[in-house]
Amino acid sequence: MSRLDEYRRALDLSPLASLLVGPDGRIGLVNDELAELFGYSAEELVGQPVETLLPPASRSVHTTLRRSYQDAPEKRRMGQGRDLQGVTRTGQLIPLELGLHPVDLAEEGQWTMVTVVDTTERLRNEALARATLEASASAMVMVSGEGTIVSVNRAAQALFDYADDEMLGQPVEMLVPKYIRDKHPTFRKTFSERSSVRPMGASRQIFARRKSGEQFRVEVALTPVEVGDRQLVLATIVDLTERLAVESEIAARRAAEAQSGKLARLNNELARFAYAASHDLKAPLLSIVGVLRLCLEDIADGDLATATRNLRRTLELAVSSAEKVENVLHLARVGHERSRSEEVDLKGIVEEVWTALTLGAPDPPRLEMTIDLDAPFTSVPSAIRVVLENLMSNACRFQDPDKADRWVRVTARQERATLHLEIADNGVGIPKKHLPDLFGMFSRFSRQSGHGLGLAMVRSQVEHLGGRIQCDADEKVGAAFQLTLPMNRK
Amino acid sequence: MSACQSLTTVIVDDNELDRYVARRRLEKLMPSGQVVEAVSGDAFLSHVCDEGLLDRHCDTAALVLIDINMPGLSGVETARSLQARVDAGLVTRDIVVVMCSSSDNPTEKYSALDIPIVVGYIVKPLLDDDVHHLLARCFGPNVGPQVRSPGGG
Repeated sequence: MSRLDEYRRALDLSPLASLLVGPDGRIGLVNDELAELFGYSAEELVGQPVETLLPPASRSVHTTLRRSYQDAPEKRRMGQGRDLQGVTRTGQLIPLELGLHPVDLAEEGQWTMVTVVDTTERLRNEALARATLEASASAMVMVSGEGTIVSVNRAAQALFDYADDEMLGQPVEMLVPKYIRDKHPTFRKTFSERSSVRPMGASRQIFARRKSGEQFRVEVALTPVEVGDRQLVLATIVDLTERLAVESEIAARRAAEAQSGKLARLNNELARFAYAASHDLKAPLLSIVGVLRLCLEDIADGDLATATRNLRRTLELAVSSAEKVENVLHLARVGHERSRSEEVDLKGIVEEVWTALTLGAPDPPRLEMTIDLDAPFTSVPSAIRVVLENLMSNACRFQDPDKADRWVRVTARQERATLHLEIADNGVGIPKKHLPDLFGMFSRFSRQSGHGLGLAMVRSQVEHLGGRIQCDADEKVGAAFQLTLPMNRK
Repeated sequence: MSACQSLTTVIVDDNELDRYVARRRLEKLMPSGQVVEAVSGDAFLSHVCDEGLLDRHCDTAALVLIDINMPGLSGVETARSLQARVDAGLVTRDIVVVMCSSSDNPTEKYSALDIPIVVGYIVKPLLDDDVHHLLARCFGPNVGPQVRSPGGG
């Protein structure tokens, strides 16, 4: 079998349209794919000059080119990047891309193996892609593997402020701010290696650079695109300037609203406090005024015994009022003093508070305590003590004398990072209608109520410790105060 | 109920000292009057009203002083409940209610004035002048002779 026969075999097996051209420029061999592409039979083509397959206008130039190729044959491609056309038997032009491969057949001379690719479809796709690119409102830049801009759309030109041809063929780094220009090729290479669709600079803010040098915040999506056998990257660039301005305006407005809401709440709270304080602190003073007037009259009338008795009562009220003022100050100070968190001996505090409350009481209720914690409870012990003192003292004070078994129940359990603490009793309870105001300052719902500061203090402390408190109660049934506190207060 | 020819006054106030001051003032100015105390709105409605103290035994009206700020039933709520009983015919004696408070806040002052039986508002503590004016205004010349003049107290 001659070398030529070997090539015939190879040609027949090739899926690409191929032909073998002799040293004289005549077609030696063609496969069926090639014959079909040009609309001939193989027999018709063999022996014809290769220029038969070219449009008449380019035939003479080609003959010259072919001869110079013959002098320095090398493996190379033809037609890439420019319009190379073939012509079919019927005279139809077809865009082509060729591969040339020199074949040295010794005594039979220097032959050339030509593979032919019909690029009609590809060009149509490329045209479609270009039109799509052009029509897009988003700025798009197509970049080669070497970082050269191979295509830009109008939106990109407008965004970066360049004229039609100022971007093509330039390194993409022209669109990158100077401060990061040196590093950009490295980023590009990393992307090419991974070659997946992703946003650029996912974890940080990225900037682009206009022709004028102006920098602006952008979001860039990178998409690897295969065009022919070229690996390109399509960058879609979104200018964030406007969006950021709107976002920061919204954020500023929200912050202002939150601030004014907070101020309004504080104002409201202050007004309520001022009213409650003036009323509740004024009332005992007026009681004292009323009694002292009587005392003066009694003294004038010589009734010293009555005057003395009443002076004692005003004294008691004055002392208790001073205590009330002190409590208001304590309440106001919650959260304003430095408080260190440390491990809290919850059981120890409950027991101590209970002893202090029931010591010497004629018929105290019984205490049920269940404390079930897996980890140490870290909080501010003095604040926890204030909370327990108030809630347990209320539970004792509002016992129901009609019940035979009277109890106060303290339960603590842990749920992950949260401590659930409940102080419950089966006392006289609280009418449902009072529950909404229960934790307000100077809220007193019963003649047994104290200054009306205890629960306000409790809520203030609990919130300061990062927790929440609510009350579940019903008249005659009892009351249950449920607290959630962080197991580990920083 | 024997003091039919004299005034009956009811003091409704949770504050013991304030009740004491009011009682002393009232007793000073009308030694023959009857003064009844109630420690809360609820106690007043259940014990005083429902036990017939305010039923018609004599021609004179009863004066009820109600503190506005009380735990449990507030003074205004108590006055409304009393009005409802009067309207329902459960209380047959003529009633004059005066609200009391340690505050002269206008909101409080007018909070009960829409209730027909409420005729006035007094800022604590109760003074002789207050009681004198009140009685003169509410009961006019009928009770005049029984009330000592403020200067004479």
